[in-house]
Parts: sequence; C-alpha cells; structure tokens
Amino acid sequence: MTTTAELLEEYRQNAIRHATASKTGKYKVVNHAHDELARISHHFRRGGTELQQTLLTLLDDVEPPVRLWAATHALEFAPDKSLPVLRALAAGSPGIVRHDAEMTLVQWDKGELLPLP
Amino acid sequence: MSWMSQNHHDTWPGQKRNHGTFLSAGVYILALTLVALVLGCAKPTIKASPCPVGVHAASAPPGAYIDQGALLDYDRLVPTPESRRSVDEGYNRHILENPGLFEQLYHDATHGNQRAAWLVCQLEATARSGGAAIARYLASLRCQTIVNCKIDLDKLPFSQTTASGQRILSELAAGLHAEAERLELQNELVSNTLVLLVGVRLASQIKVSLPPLSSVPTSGTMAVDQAAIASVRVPGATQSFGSMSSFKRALGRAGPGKEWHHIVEQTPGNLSRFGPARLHSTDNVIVLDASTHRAISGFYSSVRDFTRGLTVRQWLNTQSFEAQWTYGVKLLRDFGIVP
Repeated sequence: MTTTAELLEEYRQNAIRHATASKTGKYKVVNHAHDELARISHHFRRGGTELQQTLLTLLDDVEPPVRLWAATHALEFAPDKSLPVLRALAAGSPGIVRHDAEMTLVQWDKGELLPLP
Repeated sequence: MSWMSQNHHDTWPGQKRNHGTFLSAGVYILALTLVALVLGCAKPTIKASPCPVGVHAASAPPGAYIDQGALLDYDRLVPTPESRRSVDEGYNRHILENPGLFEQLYHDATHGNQRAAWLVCQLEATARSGGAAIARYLASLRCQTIVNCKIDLDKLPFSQTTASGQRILSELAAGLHAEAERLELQNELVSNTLVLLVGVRLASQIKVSLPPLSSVPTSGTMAVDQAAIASVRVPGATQSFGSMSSFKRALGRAGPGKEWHHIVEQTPGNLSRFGPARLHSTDNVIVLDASTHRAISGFYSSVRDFTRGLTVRQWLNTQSFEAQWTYGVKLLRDFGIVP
C-alpha cells in the first residue's frame, strides 16, 4: 500500500514532469502528469484536515512547479496560504511556471476558476 | 427563384442560343463559378446586365492591361453569323482560368476589339451581380446562424497580381459592397470577404460604412502587444489572405529551421468565427524556430492548472479574437520569444 510520503513524492515528480515536458511541447507526457496530479490531489483534498495539511507542506518545496500545483490545489481550502505563493511565482522570472501562476490568479480573481472534482 | 436571367436583345448580333441562354459561354461559366461560391445557399439570382451590341472600345474599363502577345480566337468566344462557329465552352473556360489570356482579353477590349469589349462588359456585369448575390447570402438568416457559413473564394480563378484579375475582383467586390450597403449589413463576414476578394488596400477604398478592416484589435493592451511582436512579425503593412497556402505563396517559406506560427490558431472554430483573412494575416502569423513552434503548439494541446481539465486550445475556443491574441502574445513572452 502506498504511504502518504510516497504519494507526496509521486505528486512532486508529476508536478516537475508537467513543467519540464511543457517546455518542449510533449503534451501527452504533460497531460498524463496532469491526470496523476489530479488523482493524487483528490486524495489529499478530500482526505480530511490532516491530509490537507500534508499537501500544504509542499508550498515551501524547493521546486517551483511543485509549489505551483500545491498552491493551486490548496486554493479551495487554504486560499490565505496559497495565494501568496501563486503571487510570488507570478512575479518570478519568465517561464511556464510564471505563466501558469499568473493565469491561475487571473481566473481566480475573475471567479472563473472552476471547482476541482 | 431563377439563378440567371438575361435579355436576348443585348447579345452579340447573330449569336446563337446556347444551352438555353443567349449569354456568351464565358459569362455562363463565370456565373456558374459564382454560384459555386455560395454552395448551400438557395439558388441565387445572378443577372447579366444589358451590354449594348457593338459596345464601343472607349466604354471598356480603364487600366494598364498588358499585351501578352496572345492571339485570342474571338470566333470561339463571341461568334458572329459570318464566322459559322458555335460558342466553345472549353475555350471560354480556358480564357477565364488563365490569367495571361484573361489579361489579353482586357487588353484587346481597350484597344478597339468590339467583341472583346462586349464580352468584358458582360463579364463585369455578371461579376457585380455575383457580388450582390454573395452579400445576400452573407445576410441570410442561414449564414448568420450557421457556424460553418463561408465563401470558398479559392474557386475563383482570377489573379490578384494582374490588372485584369484585380479589375474583375473589384467589380465583384463593388457589387458585394453596394448590396451590403443596401441591406445595411454591418457584419464581419462582409468585410472579411471584401478583403479576400481584393486585398486590404483596395477593400479599404471600397468600404465606406462597414466596420474597420484591421485584422488586429487596437485597444491599449493590444497596441503594446503589437509592438512586442515586432521582432518576429513580417515587416510592412498588414497583408491578409484567404488561405494559408495563399499566404505562403505570397510570402514564401518562413526560412531555414523556421516555421509560420498563428498567434490565434487556425482551428475550424476560429476560421468560421473570425474568417480566414483575420487568421492568415501578417498581424497574426509570425516566424518562429521550428522547435519553439512545436513547443508552443504542444502547449496548446496541454492541460494546465487554470484550464481545469481542458486543453488550452479548448479553453480558448469560446474566447474572442482579441482575448486569444492577447493570450498568444503572453505565451510568446513567457516562452522568452518576445520581450
């Protein structure tokens, strides 16, 4: 059985893979990573307060794509912690992570970021 | 409703009835071509307006038509009783579809050949009537409500680079514009079609009350973005084309290791919503390294956090041209391609 730590690491790897493959347009890899992120995040988001807190630990991850995805997935239950992370990424150096962070904030501010399943 | 009508008193003297009409075969073929442009439309009325018999060369259209040195067989184009020939439809079609021979026809019409002048007069009247039919088609409820409504201008054989080709397309555009004004049409399809027919420059001259033709919106943000893409944009005034193949014919290859990239993608939905002229425009098509182009195209096929399960392409699909263009330039910026 997969442990929480292993799931967290799987989440990290998929977030990094999503960003790396995006740079070269390997969309099948990107989309597979997205599906995995959605699956794992569902476990953390819907698993109760303790698991939600575990996801929040990734807001301080060394890898920007990991912070991006953790902040996005935590918006629904911890916007006060997620939004500063997204804003910091959106103010960072040009790149895909900055792009995604900016667009997520734009959609959030417009109220058009659809709820996650 | 009849799709073609004519007055037999306006035909060349002695011309025989041909396939139930008194029109010259060239006019008949042009009318058929115009009808083909509005496929799916209820049969349009395209009238051949009266052209006086023995129309004088002075009434032929002005313009610097270049002598191609070709000898056209007018007995096969506009037979007289003396010629004892019947109209040759294949030969008429050949003249219409060959820009050089069509130029010769116009040159002859302006240099004293009365049969050429009469044929040109009828062709232009038919073109104007065809333009009006296109306007009515664009104004129809069907065209306003069905997403895939479009005019397939690639079926027109006329060249935009010859004086005669420009002249006949201008006549078609003039007919379209006049009818569009009469119908008080103010829609994008009309202006796009005008651009496709005669190019941006001439369409701007013809257009009086239709919306601006500029293919790129001009809000403040867009103006900044236009400046940003200057380094990857085709220099010079905006040029618009009816298809990407026409774009490439005019502007050539993007260059070694380079590819043409649409900022607003040429998806079927975008083509039907915005028209080909807006997409295949030098304001929207830029040069990118092939690898960067693949990366960006792949990005449009990817699912992001902000698209919530959709690909970027699907997410953009319902957005305006301006929103898609702004997003496309932002992506270029975030890929480090433009400042």
